Amino acid sequence: MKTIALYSIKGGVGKTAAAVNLSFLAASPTTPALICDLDPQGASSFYFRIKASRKYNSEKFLKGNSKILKNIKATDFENLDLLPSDLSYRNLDIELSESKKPKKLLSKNLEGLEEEYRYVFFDCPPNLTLLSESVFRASDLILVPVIPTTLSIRTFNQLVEFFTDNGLDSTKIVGFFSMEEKRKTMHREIAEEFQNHPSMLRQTIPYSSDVEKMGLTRAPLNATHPKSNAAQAYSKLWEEVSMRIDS
Amino acid sequence: MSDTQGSLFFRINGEMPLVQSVGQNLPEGWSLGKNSSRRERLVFYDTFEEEAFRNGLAVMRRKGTLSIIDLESGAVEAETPLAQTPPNFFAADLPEGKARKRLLQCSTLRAFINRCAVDRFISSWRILNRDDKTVATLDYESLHPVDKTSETVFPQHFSITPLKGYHKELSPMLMALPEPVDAYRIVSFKERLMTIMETAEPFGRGYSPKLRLQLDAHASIHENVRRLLQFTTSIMEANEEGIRKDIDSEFLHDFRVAIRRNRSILRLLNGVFDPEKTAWALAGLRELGKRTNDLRDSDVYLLRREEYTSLLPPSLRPALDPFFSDLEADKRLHHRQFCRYLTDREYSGFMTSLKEFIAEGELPDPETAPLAAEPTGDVAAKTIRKALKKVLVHGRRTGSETSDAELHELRIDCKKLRYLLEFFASLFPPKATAQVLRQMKTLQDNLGTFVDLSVQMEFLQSRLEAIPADRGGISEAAAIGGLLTTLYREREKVREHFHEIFSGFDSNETGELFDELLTGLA
Ligand SMILES: Nc1ncnc2c1ncn2[C@@H]1O[C@H](COP(=O)(O)OP(=O)(O)O)[C@@H](O)[C@H]1O
Ligand SMILES: [Mg+2]
Repeated sequence: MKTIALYSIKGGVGKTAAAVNLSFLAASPTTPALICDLDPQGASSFYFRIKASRKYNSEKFLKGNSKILKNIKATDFENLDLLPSDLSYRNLDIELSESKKPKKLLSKNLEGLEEEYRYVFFDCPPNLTLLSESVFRASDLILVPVIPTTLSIRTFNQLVEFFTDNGLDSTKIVGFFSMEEKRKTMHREIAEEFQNHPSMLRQTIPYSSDVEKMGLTRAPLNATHPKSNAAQAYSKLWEEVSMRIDS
Repeated sequence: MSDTQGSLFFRINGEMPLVQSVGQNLPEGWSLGKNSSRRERLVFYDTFEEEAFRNGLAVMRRKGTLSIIDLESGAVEAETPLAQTPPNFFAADLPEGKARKRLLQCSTLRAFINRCAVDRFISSWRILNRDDKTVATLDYESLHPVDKTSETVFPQHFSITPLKGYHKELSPMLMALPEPVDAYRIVSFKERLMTIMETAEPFGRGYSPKLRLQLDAHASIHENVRRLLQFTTSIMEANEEGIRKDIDSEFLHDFRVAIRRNRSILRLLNGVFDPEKTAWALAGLRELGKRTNDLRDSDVYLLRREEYTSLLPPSLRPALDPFFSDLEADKRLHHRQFCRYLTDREYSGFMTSLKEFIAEGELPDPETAPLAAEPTGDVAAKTIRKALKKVLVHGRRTGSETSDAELHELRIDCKKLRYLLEFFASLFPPKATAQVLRQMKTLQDNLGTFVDLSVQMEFLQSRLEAIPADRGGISEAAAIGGLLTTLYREREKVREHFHEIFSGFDSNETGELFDELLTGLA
């Protein structure tokens, strides 16, 4: 089982869009995949039209294994399941701080998934909290969408620093440019400058209205418009990510 | 047709509703997603005695895969590739793995036969909730015989398979079934499989060679012997097809046991029929049995191939190849000969007359058949005591040398006693029968093994004398010699044990067990 977190301290950078499309691309009969929606706003659950059962909440999530397994739901796509989020997730941090080893809790809670899934994706909320730290430890790869602006690069570097400062493995952090607009000079220049940066992937995701329309179709773009530019970009991005994670 | 975990199958009671009307009753906002259809061929395998089924399993080939399915849950226990659809196969023929192991546990001797082949047509819809999220699939399944000339009609099913995480929201899903919704009944995998088998009626369905006659102690023995003969004769007939098709060696084996049982009972209860008629039937059965001997020999020694090979040092093993290839050729010849006989008028004529003789319900003349009218219970007690006495007398008389002839004879005495016990079993308290049979088992095993080893030695000796001098004759002779030595040593060990085992049987305890068995009868 390989775990991939879509993470950024910033909101609206394309984490959920990437989590939805990459998990769809990762799922196959030999590599079943799970997407864990960790954001109380539940955007990825929304994209897959899934609501958590009424009885599901953050407490169950913290209990782990069997409680988690019971609340996993199949998406409409073969071999792809989803663990929906619940509004109560907004208290996860407080609840986590009350547990004994909050930073290791997530990896322990997911042990039961080992047999069923080859890939697990975390769609993370935009903040840096105890939960994020737990995610960092539980993940094999932390995939960070970066909008090609100076400010975003700074935030990315801050994350790397945070890892080093806290004894976390910063080589797990991998960025990719998201919502890239080729006609914007700054985007072009920054993308070029970081082309060969070891923590950045080659493939970028263009800004595209097709991605925005996912809010209406409520399905992965790669399922509905696999030929579109953005979908092709996600495909290539997945190729790169899976190469990194499986090597 | 194995069940994805959590599928619910529905059978409609009464007339099939219109498939077109699926989904019409769904709650507000729910809908059915696009329909797709597919076809697959299912082939069900089991042995002639349905040993997979008895072990709680179904064996099914679908899309190049053989699946072993748990009958109760419908879940696949094991799978193995099976590229072709053979008419029959042995568990040992399958590739190493769990599927092979499971089937070997069901039967090593019997072949798994293609019992039924159906084409399964499935139409599928997605059941969508208010969010247009698929929560289940709805399947409509109809089965059709692969044989297009067959007019067999299988029941049809609807099934609903909730997606993972949606098992609790079943009630709106059920509304997708076409009207009238209350006409449905949930059916299990086992029930569906049983219906398929009942509908398809594969040859010899429900076959069991075990004698399970429910006798009436007060009815005349004539009546009850006729029922036994009827049963055993039907066993003979039930095995004819399997013998002809050469599916496995058990068909002939059961056929022969039925002949032997018939003969034995006719002889042991000789006052039940007119002796002239009995003599005729006995002669015919004896002749028939003789005609099967050669074929049975080939079967038996071919089955021993692995055992014999393992008894020899590796250097001598290949030397047995000509022995076995000759056996194979012999078997083909004997099989052809016996099959010809099975289709011959002589055989069918005999069987017809035999059945007529058995069907004759009128009591024979008491002058010629003095036992006929006696109550079954009396006869049972008398004949069993007599047979037991014979075993004891012959056993006690057996000298310290324990000659071959003595043991051969005693084995036959034991077998007769056993046939009587099995025939009359339903008259006794069930526990007592089981105890008596257990008491006899050690003795029977000892004698059985002794005779079996002697017969093998005789067979190998005759081969030794006929080994062609050319083509590796010397090493084959060495191999056969090696086998003879081993079998001889084994047999003598069995012989040595006889007296100890017999005195264990010849005890007060045995006497008491038989008394317990027979008191209350006469
Ligand atoms: N490549 C893209 N091109 C255009 N719009 C995008 C792209 N990726 C995401 N969006 C849109 O931006 C908004 C935020 O994206 P989202 O994936 O939800 O970000 P996050 O999960 O990081 O908050 C959404 O409305 C989404 O449709
Ligand atoms: Mg998001």
